[in-house]
Amino acid sequence: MVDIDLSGKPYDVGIDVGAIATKVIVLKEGEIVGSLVKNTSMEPGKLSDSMLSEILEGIGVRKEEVGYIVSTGQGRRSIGIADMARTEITCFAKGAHHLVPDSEIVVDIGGHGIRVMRMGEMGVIADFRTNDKCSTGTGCFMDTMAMALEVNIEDVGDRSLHSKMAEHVNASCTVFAESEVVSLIAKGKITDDILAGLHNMVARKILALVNSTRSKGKVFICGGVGRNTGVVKELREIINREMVVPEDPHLVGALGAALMAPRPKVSVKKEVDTVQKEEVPFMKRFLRWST
Amino acid sequence: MKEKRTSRYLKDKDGYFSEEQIDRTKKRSREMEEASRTRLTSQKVRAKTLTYFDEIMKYDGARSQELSDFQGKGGKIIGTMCVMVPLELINASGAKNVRLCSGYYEPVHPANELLGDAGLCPMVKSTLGSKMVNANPITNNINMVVGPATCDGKMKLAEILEDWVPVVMMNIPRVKIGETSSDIWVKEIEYLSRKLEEVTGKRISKRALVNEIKKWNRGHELWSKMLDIRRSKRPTISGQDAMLVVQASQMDDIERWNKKTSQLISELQDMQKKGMIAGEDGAARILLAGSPMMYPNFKIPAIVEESGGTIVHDELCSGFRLMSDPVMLDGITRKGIMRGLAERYFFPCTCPCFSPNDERIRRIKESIEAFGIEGVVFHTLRGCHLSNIEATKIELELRDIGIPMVKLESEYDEGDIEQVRTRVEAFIEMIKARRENEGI
Amino acid sequence: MELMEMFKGRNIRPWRFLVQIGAVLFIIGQSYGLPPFGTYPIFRRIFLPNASCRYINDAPTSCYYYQVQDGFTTGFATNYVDVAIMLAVVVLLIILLGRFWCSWLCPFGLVQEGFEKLRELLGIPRYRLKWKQRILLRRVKYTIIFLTVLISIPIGISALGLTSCQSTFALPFCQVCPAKGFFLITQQIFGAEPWSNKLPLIAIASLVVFSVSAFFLPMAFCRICPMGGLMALFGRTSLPLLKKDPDKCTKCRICARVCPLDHDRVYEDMEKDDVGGEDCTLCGKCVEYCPEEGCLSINYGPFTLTSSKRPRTRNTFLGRFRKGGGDT
Ligand code: SF4
Ligand code: SF4
Ligand code: SF4
Ligand code: SF4
Repeated sequence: MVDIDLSGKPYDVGIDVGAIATKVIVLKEGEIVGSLVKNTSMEPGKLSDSMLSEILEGIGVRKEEVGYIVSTGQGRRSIGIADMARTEITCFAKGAHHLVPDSEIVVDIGGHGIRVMRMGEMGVIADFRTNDKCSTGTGCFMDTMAMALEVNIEDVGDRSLHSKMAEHVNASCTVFAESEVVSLIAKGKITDDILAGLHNMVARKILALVNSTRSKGKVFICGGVGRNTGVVKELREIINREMVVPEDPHLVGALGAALMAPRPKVSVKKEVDTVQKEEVPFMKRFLRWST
Repeated sequence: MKEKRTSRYLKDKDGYFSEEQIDRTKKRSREMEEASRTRLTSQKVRAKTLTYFDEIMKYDGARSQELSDFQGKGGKIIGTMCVMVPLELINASGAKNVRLCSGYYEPVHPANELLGDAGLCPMVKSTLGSKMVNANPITNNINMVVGPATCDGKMKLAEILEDWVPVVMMNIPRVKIGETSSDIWVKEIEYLSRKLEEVTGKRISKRALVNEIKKWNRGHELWSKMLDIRRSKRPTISGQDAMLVVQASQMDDIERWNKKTSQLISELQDMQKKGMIAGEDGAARILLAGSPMMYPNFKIPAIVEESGGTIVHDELCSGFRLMSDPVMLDGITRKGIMRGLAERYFFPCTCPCFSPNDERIRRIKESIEAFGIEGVVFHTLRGCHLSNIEATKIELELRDIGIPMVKLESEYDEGDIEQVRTRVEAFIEMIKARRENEGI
Repeated sequence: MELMEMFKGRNIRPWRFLVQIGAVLFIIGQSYGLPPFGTYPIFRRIFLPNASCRYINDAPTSCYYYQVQDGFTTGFATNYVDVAIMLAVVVLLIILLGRFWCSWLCPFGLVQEGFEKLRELLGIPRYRLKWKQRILLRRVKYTIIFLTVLISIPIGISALGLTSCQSTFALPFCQVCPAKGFFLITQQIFGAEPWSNKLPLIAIASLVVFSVSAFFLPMAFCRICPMGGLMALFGRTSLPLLKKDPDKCTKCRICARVCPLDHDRVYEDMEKDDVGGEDCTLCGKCVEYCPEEGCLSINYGPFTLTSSKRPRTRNTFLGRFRKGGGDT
């Protein structure tokens, strides 16, 4: 861990180098002040560097005002400007806990992996599981399917919502699923129905992972696939638990990373404490204490 | 006189593998072993005596030369495939033992060629492959294989190996019910001793047996001293090294191993006095459990120890269990010795092939307490059904006592290293975060 | 033998041997021409199981089973106080000593261990009872108790009018007890008693059966001994206990194998910590051999007397004087 003199440096940066997209977030005292998402390139170090400059320029902040830069995601180690690197599992959990503190299960559906974290006390992970080598349900899988169906990836979710009767897709391996989809196309099935079927399969796959945590609490969905309304809808139908999807599910990892910055929280707390002490008169405090 | 049986699995085995393939397998194996060794030797705090154990486990180090010299003088080498083979018996018959289970990645391919991609555990495939293309100088020239029928993979492996070398298969009662299973197993051990006498042409005398038992018990005693060092707050030996040491006992002469290990222990104790520590200060204390990891397949322990954890204990049949229980005799009659031997190798064994296997959980819990474990890394080889199934049960039991566990499934190749590393790192970050939380 | 000793974690056997010898000297020594230790009147009230068989000359006390048989059959007719005192003493002894008696004090236990040693020296493997046979012997034990004790009681109650059976039913167990034969013969051999040709045939026969079985089956008599059985019945209330910490047990089954009495509860029970009872005579052999630190222990009430230890290679008593016993 790098110790940085934090005076005059109120901004923290989280960089999430995912398999498909790189997300950069700038944070000031827990509030997002700027963010940017771009497709991950071959040189994630350079890319994130330029993305950061772009954001900082946009909000008019000098580079010197940035405190910590925390990187996460699969390419976290290739970010030269980062002060520390944390795994995406930790960061997504952190971000999720920040947004919805009482979420018990955090599901991150990213470009290459699905990760399910069971939260313990105080926002610390109790345990987690991930998909093994199989990539079904991840962003790459959806990309492949969209390509096979010749649908723009951004429209995949909405189009499947129009489906009246979802097709059945059973294969649980990207290659086999693709050939199944192709054969469905050949049979003349409607694209929307195939998409709905795919989403249903993905939802079932995620559900299996969620169930294996054996927790019945609130589920928090994040990661890029969280933006796919089709998957979210199917998941909501079968998950049988309370489910929250944030506005920008793909940014949660970067947010968590920025929150990982070891800022002393005491200073903030102290202010609150003193304010309270001054405002509450002794008798009132005593009464509050005695009841 | 037994007639020579034709091969069951590889009828046209002469010239089946090209020279090029054999050479490639050997070359890759050597490279892999070298890489593993460099990883071990590049650890910052490492006792000097450990170089001896490196040498024993080296791809074609002095030990393989020694063994072939021994064989040249008419000695016999017996390959074992499991911790449940009584090595005392093998040594008492004048033969030397080597553990066959292979941790080399490359020999998996010839085995895949023979069996198709059979969804088997890579250790079984690698062991088979090594024998098929004679890729491992230490285990090439074995005179006989002893293969207990533990899991399905090993059971069938023993059968296939019979195409290359005589095999003694032993029937393990997979349900431990007191005396009945013990009786079966004693009979198997007696059968093994007969077979050994046949191969070596030497009678196994009571005196020799007791002598060997004495040596191995001494080994056990040293190993429990080693566990004491690992149990302490500041262990001076890393988990990988400890595993290397204990696996060397399966390849080395036990007397020499004892001598070197006691040297190593005093060195480690000295290091402890000097305040050294293996791995990072404040590293997460990890227990390694699950499927065996044979040298040089130290991928997972290496990742764990590189990402800020220290493996202070393991529950592997390629680790602490190799030396964990002493043979206790209740009488110096031949029958009593055989029974003592048989029960030592049978009852305390927590191999997942036994069912029900509650001892395993009990043992894991006990070591969690004794070693101050903060998290369990459960490793399963892809295709090891037994460990895979038990993982769930163990995770739930551990959740009850508040110890996190991560299950890692891996193959014998380096392809999944990054994935595994991410998970291990997240796991260790999680343990450290928990620690901070408890500190508040 | 020496080799075997090397593998133990704890060494209880030598201490036990000393205590046993001392007890023999104290209890029955004087009948073999040694100075009398235990002839003080107070000891006359202490009935220990075949401590001093009634058939030992000048025995300071007497076997409590004799007392039980004799006391019940005749006691109620004459003097209730005697029976009450006897019962009180028996109960107290059971609570205080429990089965410590069996393998630490009983002279007969020592004799049986002698047979066992002899067998080991000859290199003959021991006989192992099948599970069914063990259950059978346990039943025999309790049947003997039932027949001798419970049948004696109605005979002793004069109101039932069975007193006429007193003479035929006096000391039924003593007639077949091998101790009787053993002590009678050895006393005659050692000259404490003149040779007589009136040796009871039944006692001799049972002695022969006993010797042969004790040779092949360790502690053969203990398995059916009604005195031990009585103590085992109340075993849970007595202070000496064999305890096990199930968390530390690795289920290696060493304890069940080395136990001379095949008491396998100590191996099998993983719930309760009190694993003695039934057949266990508290000989401590399992504690000696259990390789797990602190797993098994012998307790007296709340105090732990000794507990199992990890085995160390060490020199035995004789080995200490030789060179190169251990290799460090
Ligand atoms: S790792 Fe599993 S499958 Fe492989 S040999 Fe061992 S028990 Fe069998
Ligand atoms: S014969 Fe047996 S029962 Fe009778 S007094 Fe002697 S030892 Fe006791
Ligand atoms: S000897 Fe000890 S560790 Fe082994 S089974 Fe018995 S009590 Fe358990
Ligand atoms: S259980 Fe132990 S103490 Fe009891 S008789 Fe058997 S060996 Fe002796």
